[in-house]
Parts: sequence; C-alpha cells; structure tokens
Amino acid sequence: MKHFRILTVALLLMLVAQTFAQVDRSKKPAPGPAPKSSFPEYYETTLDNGLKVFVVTDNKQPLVTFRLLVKSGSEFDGENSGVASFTTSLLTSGTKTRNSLQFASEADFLGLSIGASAADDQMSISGSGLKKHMNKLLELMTDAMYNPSFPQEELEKEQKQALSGLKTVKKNPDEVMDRLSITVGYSGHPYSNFGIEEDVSAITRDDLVAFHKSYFIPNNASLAIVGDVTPKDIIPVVKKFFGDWKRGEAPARNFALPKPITGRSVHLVDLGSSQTQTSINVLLTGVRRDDPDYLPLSIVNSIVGGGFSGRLFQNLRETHAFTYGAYSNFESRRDAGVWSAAASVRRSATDSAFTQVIFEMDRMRNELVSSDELEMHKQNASGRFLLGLENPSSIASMVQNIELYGLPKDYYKNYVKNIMAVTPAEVQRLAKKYLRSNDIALLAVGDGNVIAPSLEAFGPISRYDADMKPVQAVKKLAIDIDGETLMAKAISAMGGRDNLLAIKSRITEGDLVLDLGAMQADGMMTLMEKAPNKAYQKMTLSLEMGGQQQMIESERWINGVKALEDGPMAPLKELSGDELAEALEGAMFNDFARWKDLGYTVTVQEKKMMEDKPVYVVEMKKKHGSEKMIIDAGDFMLIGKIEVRSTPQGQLETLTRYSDYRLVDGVMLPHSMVSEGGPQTMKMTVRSYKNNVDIPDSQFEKSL
Amino acid sequence: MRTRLSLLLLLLVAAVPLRAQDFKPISYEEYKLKNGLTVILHVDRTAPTAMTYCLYRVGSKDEVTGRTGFAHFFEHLMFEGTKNIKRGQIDKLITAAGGVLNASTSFDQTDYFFKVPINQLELALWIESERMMNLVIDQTGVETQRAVVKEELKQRYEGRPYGTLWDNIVKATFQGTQYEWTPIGVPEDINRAEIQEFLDFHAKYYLPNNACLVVGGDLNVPQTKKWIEQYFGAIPAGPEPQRVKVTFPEQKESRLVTVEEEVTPLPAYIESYRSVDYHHADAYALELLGDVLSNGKSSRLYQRLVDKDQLSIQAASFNVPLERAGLFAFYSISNMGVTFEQVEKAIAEEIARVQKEGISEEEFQKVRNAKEASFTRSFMSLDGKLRNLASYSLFYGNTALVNKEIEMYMKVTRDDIKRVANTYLRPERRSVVKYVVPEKQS
Repeated sequence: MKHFRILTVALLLMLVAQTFAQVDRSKKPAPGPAPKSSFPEYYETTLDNGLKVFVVTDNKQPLVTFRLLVKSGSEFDGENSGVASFTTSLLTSGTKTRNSLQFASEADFLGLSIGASAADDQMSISGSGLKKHMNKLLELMTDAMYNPSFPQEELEKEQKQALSGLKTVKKNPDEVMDRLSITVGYSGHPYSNFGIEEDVSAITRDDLVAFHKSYFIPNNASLAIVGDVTPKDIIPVVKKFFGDWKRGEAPARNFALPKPITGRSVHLVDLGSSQTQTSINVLLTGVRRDDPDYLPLSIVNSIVGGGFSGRLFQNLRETHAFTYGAYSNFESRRDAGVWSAAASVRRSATDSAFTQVIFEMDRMRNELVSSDELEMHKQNASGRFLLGLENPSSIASMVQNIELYGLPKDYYKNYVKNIMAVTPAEVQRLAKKYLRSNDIALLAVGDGNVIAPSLEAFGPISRYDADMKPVQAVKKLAIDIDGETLMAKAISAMGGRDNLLAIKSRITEGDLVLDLGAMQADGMMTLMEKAPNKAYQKMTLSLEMGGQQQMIESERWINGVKALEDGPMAPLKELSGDELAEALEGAMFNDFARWKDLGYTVTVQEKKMMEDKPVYVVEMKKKHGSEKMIIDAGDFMLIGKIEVRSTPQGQLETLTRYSDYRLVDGVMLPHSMVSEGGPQTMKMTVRSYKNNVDIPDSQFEKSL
Repeated sequence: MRTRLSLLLLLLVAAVPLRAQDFKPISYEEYKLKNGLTVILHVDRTAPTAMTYCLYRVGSKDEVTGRTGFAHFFEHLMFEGTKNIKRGQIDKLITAAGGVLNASTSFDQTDYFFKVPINQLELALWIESERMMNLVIDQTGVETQRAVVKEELKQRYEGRPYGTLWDNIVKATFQGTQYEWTPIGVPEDINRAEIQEFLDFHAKYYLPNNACLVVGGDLNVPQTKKWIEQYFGAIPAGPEPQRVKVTFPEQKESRLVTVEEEVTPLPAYIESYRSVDYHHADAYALELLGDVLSNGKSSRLYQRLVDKDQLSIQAASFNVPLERAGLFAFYSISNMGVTFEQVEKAIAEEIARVQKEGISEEEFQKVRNAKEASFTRSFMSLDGKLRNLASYSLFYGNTALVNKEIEMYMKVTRDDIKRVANTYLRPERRSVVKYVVPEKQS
C-alpha cells in the first residue's frame, strides 16, 4: 500500500508538471491589461536670468547629460542661409582660452562628449559624461557656450567642407526634393530657405559673433539635465555654471505665415535622363506643432501612410509595384506645418503614382475607416510611445519640446489616453478638413523631359533648377539664320575680320582658380600664340598637400609641326597621331575669323533660351575635331564653347563661358573664362592681353 | 601652447587617481532549460516595456563553400511563417501590438529581437518559440526572400561608394579561411540554395542548445519564467553542432589589392593587419591601442592625417575581434590630389612612433578614462545590456563579464600597448586595399 501511495504522488506530480507545460500553441496569446500610460515625473524651475531648467533623474548608472536648447534656429539666418548652422558647429572649435585641439584634448581625456547642432527652429548643445567629471564637463560646455572665439581658419575649413557637400546635394534626387518641398510648402516664410554656394561663401566671422550674441541668451533657452542627479544637489551646480549668464533681449518672432497651398499645381526639377526613378511628393498645408488636431492627425496619417501597414505602402508597393516604399508624414514646426506623401517611383509610373495618392486621400474622406484598422494604428502609436520612454534622453527632449512648442503641460501624460480616444468618425472629420485633394502641390524630381507631358493634366507646371531658381522650359525656337551669315555677324561683333586678322601674335596672362570641391588651388597661366599655328602654354598651380605648399606646373610647346607636353601626371612627351593633329588644329591662330579659309564648316544646330536670353548653338566642324559654340542671338557675341570628351564614365562635356568682353586693339576679348566639367571648375581672370608682340620662334621649340 | 597643455593634463592625471570603477553592476538571472536553451532574465523598470533577444551560434563563417550568404538568407526566412502563424503575419502581429522587430547576421552569430509594451511579452515569446520549433520553409517563401535578398545586395553594391570595402578587407586579411567572405555573400550562391538545404540548416543550428534567449524589461519574473518554459520547454534538443576550424595559411609578405570602381569619389586607403580573436589576452591591449590612435579629435591619426597634414577627410583605425579571427586596420579617405604614398608614409610613421616610443602617460590615462565612460554608457539602454548578456554567455561562456570586462581593460599596461603594436603591426600580417578614383573623372 505504501508503495502504491508513493507512486500515486509521483504520478500526480508528473501530471502537475505536464499541465504546467501545456499551452495551446495554435492560438495567438491574448495581451495582458495595457500598461498605465504614464510619463515620468520631472522637476522644473526657472533661474533668475530666465533659463528654464528641467531635471529628469535616472540613476541606472553614474552618468549625466546636459542639453541646452536655444529656441531660435536657422529661421533667423537672415540674408545668408547657414549662419545658425555654422555658429553651432564652430562652438567647440575654439574659445577665448582654448584652441580647437586643447578643447578636444580636455574633453577626450575624461571621455566626455560635447556636440552642438542647429535645426530650423532650434539650436542645441549637449554634453555627457561620467558624473564624477561633471564639473569639467560643465566648464567645457559653458566655455563653448559663453566664449566661442570662432577662429577664422576653422570657419574656412567648415566652409570648404560645406561647399564640397553642396556639390553632391544637387545631384541627389532626395536632397533636391527636400529643397523643393520647403520651397513650395513654406513659401514666404524663412523655413523655405536653404544654403547655396553664395550663402556659404558670404558668411563671415562677424555674422557668427553677432548671431551668437543675439540668440544664445538664457531667457531664450532651456536646459535639460538627465542622469544620476537629484534636483536638490544639481540645482546649486546649475546656478553656479548658468546663473551668471547674462539675460538679453528675447528675439521677436514675427515671420509672415507661409502662403497656403490652394488649387492643384505641379512643381518640377529636371535632373536629366540618368534618372530612372522619379522622386514624387504630394504636399498640402498642415498644422502648427501646437495645434490640438496634431495628435489625432498622427493617427489619420498612420492609416494613410505610416509604415508597412499604411494604405500608401499597400497600394503603391504591394498592389502596383511602383516603388520599394511609400510613406506620408505631418511635419509640424512652430509657425506652420505641411503634410507630405512621398515615394521614389519608376519613371514611367510617375503620373499613375500621383493618381493613386490622390485616390487614397479621397478614400480617407469618403469612407469610414473600419474599427479593426483604426485599432491597429492606435495600438502601434501607443506602443511606440512607451518604447520611447525607455530612453531618458528622449524624455528630456520631450520635456523641452513642451516648452519650445508651447504644448499643454500634460501633453505626454495624456498622450496614450488621447490616442486611444480617436474614433472612426473623428478620423473622417479630420480627413475632410485636411486631406483635401483639390488643394495640393504635386512635386516631382526626375527626368523632366520624359515625365513632364504626363503631368500637365494635374495642373500648371512650374519648373526649378536644383537651387530652386525658377527656370523656363527649354523652349526650342525656330532657327532663323544660316551658319555663314551668323559667323559673319559674330566676326563683326568681335571687331571685324580686318581688325582680327591684323593681329598676328598675342601673349595672354591670367590668374587661375581651380575648384575641385574638396580643395582649391590658385595659379597663373601664360599663353603665347603666333600665326599661323604656333603656341606655348604654361600653367602653374599651387596646392596645399601634406601640410606643405606644392607647385604643379604643366607646359605645352607647339611649333606648327610638332607638339610636346610636360606635366605632373606624365613626363615630357611628344604627341603623335590624333593627339598631334588636334593639338596643331587647336593652335590655329585666329581660326574664328579664318574658318572659311581653313575649310571648316559651320552649322546652326538650334536656337533656344538659355538663362533668359535666346542663343544659337553652332557646330564648327574642323579637319580633325569639332566644337560647339554658343552665340548670343541678340548681340552675336561668342559666350560659350562646349567640348565633348569620351571618358570611361561616358561623354564628359566641358562648358567654357566667356564674359567680361573688353576692346583691346580694336578687337573684343573676354577677360573672364569659366570652365565646368564633371566636379571641377576652372576660373581664369585675364590680367593682360599683349597683341603683336615679337615672340621668338625658339619659344615654341622643345625637344625630348 | 603644447607645453601648457601637457602640464595641464599632467595636473589632471594627478587629480584622477587610479581607483575602482564606480559604475553600477547590473543584476540578472541565468538558467538552462532541460533542452539546453540558456535563458537570462534582466529586470529594468524604466518603462512598461519588454525586449526579447534570441541569439544563435551560427554565422557566415559556418557556411560551406559555394553557399556564401546562406546564414543571412536563412535569417530572412525566419520572418516568413510557422506552423501556427500564417505567412507574412509576424510583421503585422508585432506592429499591431505596438512593437518593433528586427534581426541581423554576422560572421559568428545570428540574432533576432522584439521590443513590445510589457502586456505583449507573451506574444513575443510565442512567436520566437514558434520559429525555433515550427518554422515553415516552402518554395514560395524561399523565392520571395531570394528576390528581396538580391534587392538588398543590389542596393549595397550598385552606386554605393566603397560598398565593397569590407569584402575586400576580409578577403585579403583572412584569405584561405572561413572568414574570407562577408555575411551578405554573392548572388550566384544565393541562386543555388535549395529548399532541402534550408531545412537541414534549421535542423542543425536552430536548436535550443545552440541558442541563448535573453528577456529584459519591466518583467513579472515568475510569470516570464512560466511562459518561457511553456513555449520553449517542449522544443527538442539536437546534437551539438560541429564547429568549423580556422587555420590561417602562412603569410610571408604584405598583400595588395587595388579596387577600381566607377562610383569611388575620393581615394580610400586601408591597411589591415591580422590580429587575434576576442578570447586572446592581447585583445584588450589592441582595443586600447586603437583608442590611442583614433578615439576623438585629439587622437594621433586625426591630428596627423586630418588636422595637421590635411591628407585625409577621415582617418581612423579599427579593431575587429571575432570568435576565431581578428584584424586591426587603418583607413583614410583622402583629399583630392593626395597620393597613396603620402598617406601610407604618414601611417607608417605613426606606427613606427608607437612601436618605438609607446604611448605617453597622459594618453594612457585618456584611453582608460574613455573606456570607463563608454563601458558605463553601454549599460544605459536595455538593448545594449541584453546583447552583451547574450554574447558573454554564449560565446565567452562567462556571463559575469558583463560587469567585469572593464577590469580586463584596466589590467592593460602601457608596455602591453607598445608590445602589441610591435607584435601585430608587421608587414607579414598586413594587407593593403586601395580604392582608386577612376581616371579622367575629374
């Protein structure tokens, strides 16, 4: 009996263990009760100088982060876009008592990280490190805040980098789309500004000093402290480092509101035939960040275009396969906001994609969303909010946002509750109010020639270049002149055939600036020419390499029969074959005036508008090569030449523009020449032309 | 100016004496299920959320020749469906639960995670256990993911400057071993993979006894343990997978690879030295050597190549310790017009300097301080903590390192740093990769 009982107990135990392990794997587990939508407690105070201070205690580790937020950003740039951004990036590049290296050394030595950045309506400087190094952290951070010296050479380094950056921006469809979106969406407000080359080059040290002085003031800022600190022990420290910061006059914000988007219009940037995709964006006027509709609108947006389960993704990718992804977004700033629905779509599907976006907008207004679909988006939004609370730094920026945007104090406390309260009817009401498909701007960046015809049906098309300057469609005009007559007019505009041919030799001297994006080089050029086809050319460029100034020289000798070259890339060599023939032809003096005698032919290829004036594009076929000339259809001056070279990357066109024509010895000669080819620009400013100088023939001779 | 700075730093050195680190160790509970699954629980009540992190001990170095990219391809299949979860639903279930998910594959490991509000933890555990136990692999799924992986490959290579950098570095440095290809693999191999191979792969590596499951967040611990037992306990164990052997063939001299790609905008120069795996005692000294050379704007390489000589837009070194291999590399993206010789010379001088003179006391203090700060920072996010726990447990067999690894760094001496520079930065361990800018581009 005893044995039996023990066995029973053992069996029973096994049964219990079994039940414990049993679970119905075929069913999705039901969620537990939703966690309370809480937002961590934080401490808030204001110093006598007006600085708002927030403390978020997080004692997981002995670390502390200070984030200073200045409530002004690039919207205050003024004339030259980029001032705010240069001001912040140079804060840590030198102070009154520390140069850039000293600052970095002191921070690196203690493992401190200090960085600053600017956005459209704010600037921030953040410092973080171990709590035991807090005093040093604050000493460095406040030194950068109060005493930046904005060294000239650091500014120049920064400008150089920014200029290289701008080169790639203009070729990147996404970045061009960003420019187009703010240009159209925030028209009339400084939010629509962005920096171009002229802005970057125009920024001076004085601009940065002045910007820093006006906006880095305590009554225009807030400070968030996150970490292993309590308000009681940190506030005295804050007072010590920030209490003496002098109050200033808070900048007034009185920007004009952006022009609302009404009616349907199309806005196009042509990036050429290499674009096999079109970046599209449907834009409409949205809401300011503090608008009470902003929060429920985030659910409306989530249904239309939030992530994989948004309708745009399902439609444009899953159903139609126009694209790899399609998303929409309410972007809301302090003064204004926009809604945008964007995707990169196959070039041939550009118009169909726009049609589908409009279809989804209409569906949002006309049909009530099902409660299942709405529920999924509400759950997702509240879940993501909770996941965000895991990171104390993001709590700090939420707290600072309440203050920056003037949101209700309990905005984040009630966030989940308010999200969960959104109903299908509310979604439809908001869709009717905002997603009005008759008041939209349709933006496209891509292959303009191919996509433009299909976009005319949507509305009037405005075209822009990559710097958002309006451009006329390249309208071809009827050719109204023949080659011979045009050349006669051009030669006469240059001073006439007799005056041109009266000059038998010439020495041209000029200054060069070579811009390679990442670096610039200065130099000089001397060109000696003598009829009929002798030439000598010498170019000297001075480059900074390896911390040293280095000279690069190249020379060319053409004596009418032979041509030799010597340069940095290859040792002295004599040209032969096609290269020789082209060199000899290129050295032909006065060939513009002598084209007929030389047996060249001239064809007018087209007449078109270029930068607001009509021009002729003329091809001059020589014996060996050919060149394209651009001649002004008004005054018949030669304003450009296009050379085409074959490279491994395909045809590379070099356009040289001639300007600043002046009369020298009865002929018009250009004093400025700018060549652009690929990523480089070469600018030559002529110092002097000396005509009919006696140049000894030995000048053109060189032997190996 | 220099003298003043040094004095200042020396004063600071005096003010920061050597002492015990004062970061706060984390607590965790580790145990094994009967089937060999290692489970680690870590409570963190910062927010009402949870994260599950499942780490498998299989990566691209476990692939066989002709099937490179297989482990990563397989990772995609883990999002398809299971016996109890219809195809394409894993994404949707997690999205609707307000969560996020992802996975990654590297040389030595494959990992999967879910982050969800705490009330959805059971859902996450159910899905993770389903794909360990009941993964469905069918032709449709394989073909869909084959297309997706190929798009991923295209995106990576086509028109992306230096997109092939890693491939070229490991191919040269780890020549003749299972580490000579990267996890993404090559398209031809991906085309060849057949359905039975995937089934075999899952059966061989996706075993409870070849994995570590870490669950962290605002946990109810007994409840979490119960769910883990219920969902994972019934998954059968399998034979311990055989580990690959990694034997490096003898290298006699420096190797050189020159890469010409149309999209290269500026010349890139990489000098990579074969070093040691992360179990090796020198791994920590190498890490600190890397910090001396390139951590922060005051580091040697930044000061020399970027600031002073202005040869490079970016210059740094990196130390990559793996399970059975390791490399230590220098790289520079040069300014226009700078030659490879100039960069090579500057790097060679910096190497010679550290080999001959070692590092200064203040540099030594600096990298120790920086290491302490970054070690402490790694405990700030739940994500970071769970990853560390899993990796120390599964690969080091020493979970306690999560709180102790800093001590290994603090044991490194100045002499160690000089010594490893001399031991490993030698020509017969070196491979050079040059990305040239195509001629006539400019």
